[in-house]
Amino acid sequence: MKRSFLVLFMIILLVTTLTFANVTLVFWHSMSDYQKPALDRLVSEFNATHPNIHVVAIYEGNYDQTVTKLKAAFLSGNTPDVVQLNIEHLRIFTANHQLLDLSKFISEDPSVKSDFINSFWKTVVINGKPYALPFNISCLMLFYNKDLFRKAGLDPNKPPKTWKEMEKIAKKLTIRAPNGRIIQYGLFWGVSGEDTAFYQFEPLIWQNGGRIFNSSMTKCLVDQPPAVGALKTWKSWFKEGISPANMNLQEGIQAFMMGKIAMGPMTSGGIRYALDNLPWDLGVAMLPSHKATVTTLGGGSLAILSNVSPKKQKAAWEFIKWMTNTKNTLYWYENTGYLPVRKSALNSLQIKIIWKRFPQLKPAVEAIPYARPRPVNVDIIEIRHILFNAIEEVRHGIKTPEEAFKDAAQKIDKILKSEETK
Amino acid sequence: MNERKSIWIRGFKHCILISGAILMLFPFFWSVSTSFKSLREIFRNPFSLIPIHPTFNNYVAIFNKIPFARYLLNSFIVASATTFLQILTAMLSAYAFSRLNFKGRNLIFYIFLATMMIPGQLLMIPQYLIVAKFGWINTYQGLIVPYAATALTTFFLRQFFLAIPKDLEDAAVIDGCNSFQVLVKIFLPISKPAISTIAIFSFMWSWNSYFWPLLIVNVPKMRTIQLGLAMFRTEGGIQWGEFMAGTVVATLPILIAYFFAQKHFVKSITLTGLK
Amino acid sequence: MFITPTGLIITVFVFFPLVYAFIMSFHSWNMSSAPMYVGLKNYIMALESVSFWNSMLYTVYYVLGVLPFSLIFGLFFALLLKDNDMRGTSIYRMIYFMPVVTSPIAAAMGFNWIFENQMGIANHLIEKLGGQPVSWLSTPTGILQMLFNHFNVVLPKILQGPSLTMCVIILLGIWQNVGYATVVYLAGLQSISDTYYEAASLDGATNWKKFWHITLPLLSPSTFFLLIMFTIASFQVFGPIQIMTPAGGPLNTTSVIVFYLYRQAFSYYNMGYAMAIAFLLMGLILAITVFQFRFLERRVNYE
Repeated sequence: MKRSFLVLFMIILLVTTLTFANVTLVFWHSMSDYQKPALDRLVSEFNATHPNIHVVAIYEGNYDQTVTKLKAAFLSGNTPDVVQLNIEHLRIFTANHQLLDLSKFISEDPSVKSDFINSFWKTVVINGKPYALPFNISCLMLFYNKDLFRKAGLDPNKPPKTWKEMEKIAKKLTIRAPNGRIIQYGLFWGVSGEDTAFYQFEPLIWQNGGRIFNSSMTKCLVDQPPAVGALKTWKSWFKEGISPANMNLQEGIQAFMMGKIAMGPMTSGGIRYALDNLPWDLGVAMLPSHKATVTTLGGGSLAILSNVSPKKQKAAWEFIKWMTNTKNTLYWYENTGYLPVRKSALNSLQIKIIWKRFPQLKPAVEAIPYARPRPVNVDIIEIRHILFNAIEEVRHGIKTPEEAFKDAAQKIDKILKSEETK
Repeated sequence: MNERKSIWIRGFKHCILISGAILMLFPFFWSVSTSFKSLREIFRNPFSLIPIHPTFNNYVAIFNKIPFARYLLNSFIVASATTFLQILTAMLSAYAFSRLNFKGRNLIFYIFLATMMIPGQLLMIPQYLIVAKFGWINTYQGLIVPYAATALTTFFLRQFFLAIPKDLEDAAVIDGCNSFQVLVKIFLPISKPAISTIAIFSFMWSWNSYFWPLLIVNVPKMRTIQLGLAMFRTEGGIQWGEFMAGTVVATLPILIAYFFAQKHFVKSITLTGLK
Repeated sequence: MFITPTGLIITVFVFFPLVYAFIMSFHSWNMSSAPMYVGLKNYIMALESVSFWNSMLYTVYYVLGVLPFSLIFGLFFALLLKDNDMRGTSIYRMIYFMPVVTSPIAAAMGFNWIFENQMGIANHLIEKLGGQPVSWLSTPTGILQMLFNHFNVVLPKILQGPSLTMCVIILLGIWQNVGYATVVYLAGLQSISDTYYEAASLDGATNWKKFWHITLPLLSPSTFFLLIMFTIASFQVFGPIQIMTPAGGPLNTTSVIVFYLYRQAFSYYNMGYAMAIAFLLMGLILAITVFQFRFLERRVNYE
């Protein structure tokens, strides 16, 4: 009896190994909550259509946590094969040659490279070599509550185009109760302090004609007038009472969802989630411009680790290429709001069908030409926290905009300097 | 007269105690209540104490989204094994520190004690490297063994053993028992209350631990319940209903265990507090 | 022989890592590149860093907030429960102890929801009573400073007190500790022989005097025990802070020392620096515990 079980087991094992995967790839990602089902669907379809490759997708926490996990994994040798990394974190690993240089594969497959949207492609190239494929790229968009626009007598199809217009509209959308308390705010330009700290503030500096770093990334420029000016303007939104001064980002999003805030910047990667879950009519628009029209480009990419065997490398390349192909990038776009990464996808017929179904997804694609990647550096996480703290000090009235950004720039310059000596 | 007065005083005491109990219970009650509310109800009517249209959807959603059953099982295995091993190691070492004479006994004991003051995060990276050397990443061993012995349990049991009268074991020694037999036959039965304390606290501690599993577990099938719970805390808006449902699921087992063991709890804390 | 298992595990998983961490604290290491010896630089950097000292201050706030209130409320409830003839003692005790067994992660989530800005029930109650809603989790102002704001006085930083956000976290700490203190004190009270009180009654002592001269001194072993346990645990508070204020709170006012350490280690990968901070913290806890043993234990009245 026992023996026959054993034999049966062996046969099953043999059959499984023969028919299914001769390569198993472990894939770490950071897609939680609402994006996860879409990602899982893609991976299982890949597994179904690629009998020789089996991909195991594992959620490992947000982008920052994935960096920690991956660093720890390298110490112990328990690394995955493919990993989704924030485009701004690639450098942390290329500095120690831990990611696979994809040049070889790209040269075999030249059509792949030329089909990626140029500005996206640049984010994965470090010192002239591509280390990942852009996968979930998003840009910051202005989300607004069309219902509140209508109630205030505003045209819900005319979102603000400039800072001035935005301020004007926000004032109209700010409502006070008879006792003077504000019960609805026009605007909340919340800035995150965790995973993607300072994300929402960067376009304000650019729109004001400024820069955050010099081009060689050796000096922080937030103490210059354009950045300081942006900070002053941001502060004025709180002072004038069109923005709630005492809310952190999470509370702000909560209030926005509840219809107590009319406008705010959000990542395009959340459009589908918002459409599915908000009980009111959502409007999505390009960020208002000031001296320049610009938004932030952020998001993740798929990289292969350099320590995997050549056989796995090939399979991994097959996988990341498939994940970012025209059809799948469109599926991903429709189900999350992350941008299509291929030129062929932008020109496809399907995208027009998607726009018909979800008109709010269209402005994100239109924003691509204006989207600028976030500055990157090996110590970027610490640097962003310093910048975030600086604007918080201004919001809470501890420092003036000038002081806050001057102090921050000094601290950051010190870090940048110490990198040179490393 | 006196009788009447004491009734009044007692009533007053009950009033204070009940208000205290309400404060203590409220967070539990509120979490449970929220976990049965739909997202819509939370938005529209967040303050109704009891859900108007109670729904199980949050629970269904979390069990669909995350393999909570598996996480509960893992937590249970890890916590039970850790508890068992902690008792075993503590028994042995406490016996040694309280009864056996060997060179440097007190010095070693105080060094043991000092380890209680080390911030856990300090040790994590080196511990991680060691566990990795053993090939224990993503394994139960990795989760259990580093915490199979602690200074605290040893300290606690030693204090208890010190209070056991010597005559008892003398009799046993005369009967020809060796140290190990003395430990099993004499000390083990007497120290049941102390052991149950350790059991309860180790189990609770292990069940609630978070950072060590976070560091050494990379695969879903080895995750513990606390890791599953923390996963809900993503950026963006929080799904409060599901969030609270997760909290309830993660807390319930330990509360049930506590209800069953609470007599021992009280008895044993009585012991710890007096030493 | 008997200590081999414990000794082995503690050596491998505590002492060895400790030595390793100690060596690392003299290096600069980002977990990926090779460590580089830097001498005392990490320690000097910590002692010169404003953030480090702020974290120390916030930690002290937390400890000073949690410790006395946990003890006082614990004693208060224990005194109420001591009545042997009263019914329901065990039920109260059971309820009061429930927060102790709850995981800090779950408890922090519950408190986060109660004190949420928009939908938290705390703000709802305040509004019902006619007050202004409070931004519990995003107000950086110290509570003492808030008081003095009415007189337009700006206190020096060290006197401003814990931020409102920190106060919520302190409240959580108290909530999780009171039950434990209650049970320990109750046990202490029950072990005090009635003869003391009878003798005192004969001498005509008031209840207050009895409390002050009999109860409190005879409870000192319990107090001492709780003090040691709570001190060690409070200095290492981390979980609730990570859950309730993952970015370190408004203006980093909840960034206690272990949070600061964690960030340095696992967000910025300044491993050597983080380990240096950990050793400074350990030294501090050790010093305080030794102090408590040397100076306070003398006053403890072991019957």
